[in-house]
Amino acid sequence: MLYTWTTGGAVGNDQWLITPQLTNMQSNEVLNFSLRYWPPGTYRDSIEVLISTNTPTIPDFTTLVFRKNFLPASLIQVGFLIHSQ
Amino acid sequence: MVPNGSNIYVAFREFVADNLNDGASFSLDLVEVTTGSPNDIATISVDKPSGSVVLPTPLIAPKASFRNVGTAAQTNVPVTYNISGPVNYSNNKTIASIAPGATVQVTFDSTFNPTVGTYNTTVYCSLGSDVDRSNDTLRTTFNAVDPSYGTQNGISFANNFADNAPSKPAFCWKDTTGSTSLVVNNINVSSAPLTGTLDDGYWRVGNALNGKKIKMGGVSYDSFFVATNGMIGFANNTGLTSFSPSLVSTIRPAIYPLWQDFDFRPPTTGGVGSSRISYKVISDFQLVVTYDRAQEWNNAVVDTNDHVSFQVVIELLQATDPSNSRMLVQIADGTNGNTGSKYLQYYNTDFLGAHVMGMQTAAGDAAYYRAAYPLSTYPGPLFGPGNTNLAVQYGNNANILNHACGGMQMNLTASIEAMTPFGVGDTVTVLLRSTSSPYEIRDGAKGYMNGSGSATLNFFKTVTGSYFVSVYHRNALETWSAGGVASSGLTSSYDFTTSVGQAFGSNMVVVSGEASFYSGDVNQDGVIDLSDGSDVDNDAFNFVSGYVNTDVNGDGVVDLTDAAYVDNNALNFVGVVKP
Repeated sequence: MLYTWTTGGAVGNDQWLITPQLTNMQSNEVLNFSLRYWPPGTYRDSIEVLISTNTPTIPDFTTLVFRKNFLPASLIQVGFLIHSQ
Repeated sequence: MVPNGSNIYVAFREFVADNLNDGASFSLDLVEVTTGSPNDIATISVDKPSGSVVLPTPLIAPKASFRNVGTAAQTNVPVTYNISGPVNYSNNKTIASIAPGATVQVTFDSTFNPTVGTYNTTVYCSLGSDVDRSNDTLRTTFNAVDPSYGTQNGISFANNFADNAPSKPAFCWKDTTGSTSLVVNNINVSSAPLTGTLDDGYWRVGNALNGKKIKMGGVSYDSFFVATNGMIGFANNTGLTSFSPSLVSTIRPAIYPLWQDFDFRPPTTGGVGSSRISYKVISDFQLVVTYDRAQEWNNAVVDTNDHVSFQVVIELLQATDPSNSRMLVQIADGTNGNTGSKYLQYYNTDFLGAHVMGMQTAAGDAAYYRAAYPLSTYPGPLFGPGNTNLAVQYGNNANILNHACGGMQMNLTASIEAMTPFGVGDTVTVLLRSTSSPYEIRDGAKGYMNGSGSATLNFFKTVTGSYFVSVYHRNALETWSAGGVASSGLTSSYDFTTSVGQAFGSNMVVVSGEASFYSGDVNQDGVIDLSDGSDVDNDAFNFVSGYVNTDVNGDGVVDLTDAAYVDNNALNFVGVVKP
């Protein structure tokens, strides 16, 4: 589980959690994850999910597949076909 | 498009969108890659309502998003949105078609009209051939709040527009004539000690409450600490120098009338009058702290007319009063430049600096009326509709947040045992109280009662009605009227002297034919006993003279004559009697 708060500094933080390489992705494979955000609506934090087909370095994460600002406090479940991105 | 057979990395990135403040937390869990099935629709988010719904609101059209996480295109997918709470809602829709990997946001019927309360939502899709039911349903909770009133941690608040609240205050700016200034146009003019600076500091003010107490969270305070950044503390706390409003501070006990980064440089061109912080005590029952034209500190940019005026009115109580002080915050509109046009412009466009309005007890019980950074979890308005004056009152009883406006003159006739029968006059404080429990203070006035026992008292927020009259004097016993005293809203009169039955519990003594308040409660603790006697004896032993509480008969000298009144009443176990 990843849990962020003020990790990364009091202001302007930008944190990345990168998976190990996922190989030979097929058209019927789905990436699933769950997110919870707290507190709702107070701070302007955002979360993005990006894909790199090259190296695990930030410049190579050029495919944005998910972005949320100020999620509701409840749990949300996300799943998408990687092939369709 | 990620090509089939690719090797990929997935990154989860959390960042601060406004580059201003990081305080949110994300929890990420259950990350996995699974093999998709042909028929699998997922409910992926409940989009609306979410968080807090601010009332009143137009009819709401709930929204939710669904994704086809299967490998086959789907048509005619049934989806349902249910809400349960004070108002229930249920609606079904059909997604006509959804391609693999696609997301569709569905807008349900706009018929949801919430009232105040907590709601549970359940959203689900019902594709008959769906092979994975675990991702079909999402549940969330949201609150519908009326920002004009509420209760948090036992502390209630209401503003002057809270028509649905159990009670609401009126806006009546207190006259600041005679106030003691702390800072004027960036010059410290106070003899009270200052901690910090004129930009981020606070004054420690003691011995100003004339023996009365500020009560918060059941604790009595006899000092107050006025901060330049819109806070008033009741205990010394160096956090009062803070210019960073927060919902998790330990700056307490305190009220945050408008905690924002201010300074008190002179108003810039276009401003009217001076910038100033001042305080005064009205009739020994209200502390009024006024911030005139507090200048918003805006990254050192000098903005014309970027200032706000606000006032805090704190109820002062007897030490023996079981209540907590109600506290009123009044925000002035743009009349006479009290609040600047630029400040109002910033407010209306969400560009004001971070600010918090609320209060917090020593034990950490907090209530927040407004918090904006600039997003607002607590969305109480800073001004009324059309940028008009606003009043917000805080207290422990939602039914008596009823600060009122009005004017009434009372002719009081009374006698103080050791003074009036001998032609000695003195100052009295008179409170008008509700006739029903907890007999909250509705208004108060202080005046001089002459040697004939007559006093004229001017009240400024009394409306037509009936009130208990409670009278206070520096060394007489607190005495209440036998019952409610009618007020026309303009005039009223009451005569305690005609018989002891004029006092609640007949708690008076007849002197020279006139029913009189008992003398000798030197320490104002509601009973006349040995502790009062020892105070008098000590002062008599030391030949104390002047206007002191131990001078029971008001002749300017503390001696055995004064002690005699105390001893006699102590012997008879005289104490306050009130409803």
